[in-house]
Amino acid sequence: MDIKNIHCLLIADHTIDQLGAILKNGDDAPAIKTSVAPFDQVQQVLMNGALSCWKQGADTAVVWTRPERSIDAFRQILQRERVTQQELLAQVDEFADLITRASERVEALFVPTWTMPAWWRGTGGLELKSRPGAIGAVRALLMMNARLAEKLENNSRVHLLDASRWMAGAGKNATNPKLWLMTKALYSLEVFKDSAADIKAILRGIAGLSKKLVVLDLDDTLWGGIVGENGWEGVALGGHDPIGESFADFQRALKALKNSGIILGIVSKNDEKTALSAIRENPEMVLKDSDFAGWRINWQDKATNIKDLVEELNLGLDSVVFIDDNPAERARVKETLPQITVPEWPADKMLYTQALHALRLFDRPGVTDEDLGRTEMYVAERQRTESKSSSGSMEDWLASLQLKVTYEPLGPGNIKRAAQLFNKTNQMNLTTRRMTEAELLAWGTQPNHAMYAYRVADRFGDYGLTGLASVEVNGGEATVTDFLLSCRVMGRGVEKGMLTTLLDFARKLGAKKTTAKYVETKRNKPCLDYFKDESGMPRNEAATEFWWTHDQDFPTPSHITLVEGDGNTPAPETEAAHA
Amino acid sequence: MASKQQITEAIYGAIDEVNAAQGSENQIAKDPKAILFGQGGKLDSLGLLTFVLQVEQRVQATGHPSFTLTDEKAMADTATAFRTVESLTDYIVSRL
Repeated sequence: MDIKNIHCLLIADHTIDQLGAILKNGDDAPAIKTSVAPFDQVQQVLMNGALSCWKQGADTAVVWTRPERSIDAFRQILQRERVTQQELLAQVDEFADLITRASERVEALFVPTWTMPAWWRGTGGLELKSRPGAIGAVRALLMMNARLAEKLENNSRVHLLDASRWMAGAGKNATNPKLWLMTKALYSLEVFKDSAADIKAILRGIAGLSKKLVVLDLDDTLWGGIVGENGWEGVALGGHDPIGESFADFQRALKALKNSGIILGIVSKNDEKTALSAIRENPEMVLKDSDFAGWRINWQDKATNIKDLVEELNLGLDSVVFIDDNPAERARVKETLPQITVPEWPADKMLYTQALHALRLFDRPGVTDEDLGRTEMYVAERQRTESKSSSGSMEDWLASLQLKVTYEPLGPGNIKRAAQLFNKTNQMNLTTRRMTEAELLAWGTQPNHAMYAYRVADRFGDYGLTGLASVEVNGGEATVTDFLLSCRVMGRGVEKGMLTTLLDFARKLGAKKTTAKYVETKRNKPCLDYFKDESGMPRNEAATEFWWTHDQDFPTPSHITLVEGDGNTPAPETEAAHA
Repeated sequence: MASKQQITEAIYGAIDEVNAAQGSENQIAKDPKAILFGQGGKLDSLGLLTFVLQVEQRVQATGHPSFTLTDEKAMADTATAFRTVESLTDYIVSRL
């Protein structure tokens, strides 16, 4: 999916044109072209891909329905007619099947959950009860949404959106009966604005543009007050006062982010020893030093420190969010490192947690095991660096790592992470193609294609799925179509292991020669450098094509163990994985 | 009773709201002379009705819970009353 050229088909049983206008005209990226399917023909549109509304180039869709319109059993429940739970859920299943069918026509399909207008309260508490033949409407709605989520949870193209949050945010103005009666628009602009922002956040996540690292200041950001002046005993954190509690809440929210795979780092103007002792010794600290992938705590310029830390973590500046209570520091970082996202931050410390939750920067289409263990991987990397400095030579060090590279075809067990990697890797990337999960799977299953995901582990830990490469064989000629590797494992011989697997596949299919054509981008010079200086492959004069003829074996590094996996390989257990 | 200034603010608030769904070339200015309806107007019929209901809600919030801009009289007066921000302000004040 081209993030700059998204076309969204809006399918609804209420007037939804204004969502289209906001998706197109809103301030936040991406701008989305929209078209609206025939009004109130949801089932027909979902069922029939031959309808003209599907022929206008939509690569995404929104299906937003009223519960009483799309599930007739729910309408009956509202009318106090007798309906069994079985009948209700069977209709939800049918609706989910229609969604599944429609999802095959697009790369992403958004389904807001079913809601009722805030003014509707039925018979109050009875709406949550159930008795034979009669289900309370609120209870039914909860069951319907849960069932829909359950039926669609394995469909990576379908994204259920929590519409109840938009309703709560807009309060009593979320819906206006007069607006409905006069225009058949069910929701206010406020609801549409919130929904558009959520849709765009997910699309950014699908495109690999979600943020990976939150860099935090310390004083008056993670705790209240100045630790250098008051000592850790004197800062506001936890306890029984609203400010201290608000900082503890904020840390809990950050810890939840970390536990979902977002990396935390610290950049603070402080004495490092004092600051670290505050983190390690203050019993009210929710975040421990092991929750941070790295830090720069000194008196240097914060922008320089952030750049340095981001380089250490092998991340791009555009994947970073910087949170600091000090507007001057924020302005400085924003000006010096415009790629970094620096959100405005509330002066009122009790609003920090709310401000963090309001950021729509961390949406991802899924969470992988690698995401969840990312911080631990950085801790393992610190250990590797320490071991490197104590090794005699590079060869000794590489041999001591006991590198194991597992290559496997794409499948349900790795496609999420593979797509993330494919769409985010810039530096070690031969051709920098961008494809969705579905496109990758489809490409990889062609009989003359091989697309491998590579998992790398060593004695310190599991790097996870960090490489992806593919080759296409046509007769005696084969072409390396993709070759990309996370910066985390570059320069350890993994690249040669990857080439070995591709060349092996090509040779087995009868290729006499395999060629890798370098496609230059602004950021992939490291890949060119690798092929020129380290791959050992002959090349043309312009250094844009590299090849291997299959009359000779490709030299695989002896310090690497290559293992074939099946696409559902569990992460290898290593000492650092348990660190 | 709400002041003329409060009513103007209510209208400006509604303009902010509907501008979210207007392209950059169709933004409505927060200016007394800004055209809302008729020749030179930038709102389509759905946008105009959304705007009217937004203004209605905001005026109600100034202490006039029964105020309406969608009754027959208001609809009949649309062409003149809704022409500009200024004419709408005067019209609302006259009906409070």
